[in-house]
Formats: sequence, C-alpha cells, structure tokens
Amino acid sequence: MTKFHDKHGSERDDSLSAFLDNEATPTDIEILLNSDINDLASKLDHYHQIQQAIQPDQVSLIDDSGAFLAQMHAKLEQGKPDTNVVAFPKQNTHLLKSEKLEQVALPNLSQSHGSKRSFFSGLAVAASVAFVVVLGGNVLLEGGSATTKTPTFAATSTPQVTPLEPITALSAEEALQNNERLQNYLRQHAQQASMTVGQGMIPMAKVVGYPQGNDQ
Amino acid sequence: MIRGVIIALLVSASSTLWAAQSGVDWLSRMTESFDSLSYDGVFVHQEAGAMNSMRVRRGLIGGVEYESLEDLDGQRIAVIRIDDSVICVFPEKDDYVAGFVPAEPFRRFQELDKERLKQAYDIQVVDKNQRIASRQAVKLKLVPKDEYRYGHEFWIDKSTGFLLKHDVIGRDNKLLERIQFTSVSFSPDLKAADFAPNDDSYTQRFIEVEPQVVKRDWHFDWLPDGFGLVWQDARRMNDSTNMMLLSDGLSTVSVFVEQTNKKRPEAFMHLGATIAGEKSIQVDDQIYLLTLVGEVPAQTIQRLMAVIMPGSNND
Repeated sequence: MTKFHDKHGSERDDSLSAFLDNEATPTDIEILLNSDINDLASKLDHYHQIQQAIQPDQVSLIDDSGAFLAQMHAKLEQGKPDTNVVAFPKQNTHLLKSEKLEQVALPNLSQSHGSKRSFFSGLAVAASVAFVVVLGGNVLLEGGSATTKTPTFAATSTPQVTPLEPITALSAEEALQNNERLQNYLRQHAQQASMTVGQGMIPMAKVVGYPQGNDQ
Repeated sequence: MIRGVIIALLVSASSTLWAAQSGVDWLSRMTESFDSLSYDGVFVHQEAGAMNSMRVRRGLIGGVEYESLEDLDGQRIAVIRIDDSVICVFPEKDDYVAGFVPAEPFRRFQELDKERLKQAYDIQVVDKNQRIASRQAVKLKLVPKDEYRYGHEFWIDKSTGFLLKHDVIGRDNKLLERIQFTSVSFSPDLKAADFAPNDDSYTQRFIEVEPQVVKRDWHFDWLPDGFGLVWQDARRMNDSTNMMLLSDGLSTVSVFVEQTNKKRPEAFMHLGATIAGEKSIQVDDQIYLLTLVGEVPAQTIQRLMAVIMPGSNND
C-alpha cells in the first residue's frame, strides 16, 4: 500500500507513512504520540520540500506542518487514525476555497502494480507523486468560476437525475482501482489527442510517461 | 504602364508572402509536415517535473510509410508503425503492458481547424529569428481568449514547417509542459531494417480495429467558445464505457461515461498540464461515473462536469 519511505526508513517515519496512508496500527499511533513533535514537523517539511521540488507549481500537500500535526494529534488522541488526511491549507491564491484543511488522498501509483514494470521507472515515480486527488470538487476552482452552472436537472424531463454528493474519503483500495481505470483513460485520451493536434507521434510521448498498471 | 504592372505584381507577391507567414498558416504547415516529411530527431519531453528523451523517425521506404517513437532514457520501449500496423517493442515479455497501443494508426491526424483556433486563441507570430536544435525557427504564440484553456508557444522550423519546440503555458506564465527537439535531420538515410525490432525483444503486433460507433447519450449545456464535439456520436470502449471527445482545435478533453453500481467521490487529479476530474451522476436507477481528462485548466474540467447532461442534443 501507499508508503512514504525515506533513506533511513526509521520506525517513526514508517509509522508516519502508515498514518498518512490510513494504515496506522496501535503501535504506530503510540510511536507517533511519543515522537518529538519537532522531528515530525521536520519530516513533514521534508516531504513538503520533495513534493515542491517535483512540482513547484502545484498546490502544496503539506504546507503547514504545525497545523497538520495538531490535527494529527487530535485524531490520534481520539483513537481514530483518519484516512489519507494531510494538511491542505491556504496555498495558491487562485484557489477559491481557502479552508484550512481539505482531504487529499495520495495514491502511490508506482507501487500499486507490482507485477508489471513501468515503462520508464523514473517517470513513473515522478508521476506517482505528481498525481494528486482532491476530494470535494471546489478546491481547484478559481475565483472567477463562482458562476459555474449548476446542472439543470429539470431540463431532463423523463429521466430522474440525481447528483451524488461527494464522499469524503477514498479507501486505499478504491484509490488504486481508480488509478488503474484512470491510467487507461489517460492513455486513451493521449492517443486521441495525438490525432487532433497535428504533431505526429509526439503527443504519444505523454503516454509512455504515464504510470502503467494492469490493464482492465 | 510596365512600371505599374511591376508594382502590382510586387504588391501581390508581398501580400501572398505575408499571408503565407500568418500564424495560422504556420500551424497548417506544421500539421502537414508531420505527414509529409521524412525525419529522424531526438526530443525531450518535460512534464510535471519529469523529463524524458525520445527519438522519433518517419520515412517513406519503398512506398510504405514507417514511423517510430523510441524511449531513450528508461527501458528501450518503442512503438513502430508500418503503414496501418502498429508494433510495440518491449525489452522482455514481462514488460508488456496491455492497453498501451493506440486504438488507431497515428497518421490519421485531422486537418487543422482554423476557425475553431481563431475563436479560441489570438495567434501571433512573435519572433522570426529563433534558433532551436541548430535550426532557424519562427516563434508563434497562441494566447487564449478566455480562462478555459492554456496558452501555447510553438517554434516552427522556417524551411520545413516542422515543430521544433512546444510549450504549454498556464496561469501566471507558468510552464506546464515542454517538448523540444535537440537534434533533427530531414534527410535521414532510413531503411526498413531501422524499424525492425531486435531479435531478443518482445513484440506485440496490432492490426487496426475500427472503433464501434454508438449513439451519444449525453450532451453539454455549455461549452467554452471554440470547443465542440469531435465526433457527433460516441465511441464504445467496452461493455460499460463510452467515450466522447471535445476540442477547440488544439486542446482536447476526453469524456468517459461508465455505467457503474458504485458511487465515487467527486475528485480531481493533475499531472502537469493534464487534469482529470470525475463525478458520479444517477439517472433513474443507473449510476454513471463521468471522467473528464484534458490539457485544460481545472476549472474547465469542473465546469464541464457540472453541465454534462443526459440526452444527445449537442449538434
């Protein structure tokens, strides 16, 4: 399952990874509660730096380690390790909603398909980090998009159409299933795009950079 | 009298030359060049903080069209097209990944839709004296007319019209994706043997299968200016999933509609310039999972997700 691993692979880091992946055991929780909060903050900052180095123009996953740790400790104290919850605080100014915390699932695509090697391992690793699933649709909206139309369901007279409410979290299994399907869609999209933009085979370069998984 | 004729001819020639050098015409040349030139080049693809170098070749050999795309950095995986047959080459059988192969041959590129492009972008020739991969290039800038698409910059070879560099530009002028040739030859000495996989590699050959065209059961209550359906019908991907395609002539958005029995949360994913969004909708007793993928800003995907509706009246 999804794990953050660093070079040292310390017990604390493994426990932190497990917590981020909603896989924390009671032992992990105990380790985290007994850990030095400054060390944890440092580790989170490290994750943040890695993520920013890979994708400097993307929203930060862990931009406020203090807020994150406070939230994490609150949840641990309640004995309810949450899902892949990481801090998603105020970040890029173009985000419409600037609530302090949103939920972000971090599926690790490169580890989800052990039997099949990625086309380009380096790229696949990068892609696994670069994919960010943001649950709850509005966080990516920009300020000017408040005019977004609500679907006019009444216009469909015969069928009864019901928009489904966003669910607040994905299980790791769901996230992985989702990614396999999504990988297939990404490939299909790139292939079709290559036929519409008039650049020969070149758009196919995107396809080989996508993480690969078991085909459906 | 003679002077008048000469002046008229000069004016005419000059206006023709000017027309030939407009941004849209350069884009047309670019599109045509991929289908008409022989080339052998190496380019770098950069997206989402990752970079990969690849080699692309194309040639007409004995009246047969050959084309290949080969990874130079990772495992030596290649896609080879010989006329209508596509061959994928993997170092070993275990490296084979089903579903990678394109559904249709690469050469069936659509013609440049100039009117759509003009609706969506201000197309400017901004510099005629650029140099990319040791070649003289013209730089074009496509500035989006609204916030629903990214900007693009193209560097096009002056003498052949070939694309030498392409940047996708996001908000605040951020580079989202880049393709740039580092070297390219337009008189390659290509032979059929150059497109033959190594004996010890694993190859998978695919013959074109026409995609099944099915009735489109969905439409959009709104589309960004210039965007339209590429196909009036949908394409069936499997028993439960159909695909639609939107384009403004340059940017594309794929729409996948899948019948499912499980609700999923509304979610967005991004990889460089590519954004994917998904949302579940229930129509009567059937749940559908809508997945939109495109090289457009997230808000475009989100807005399209909000206006997709049952019915097929997007004509």
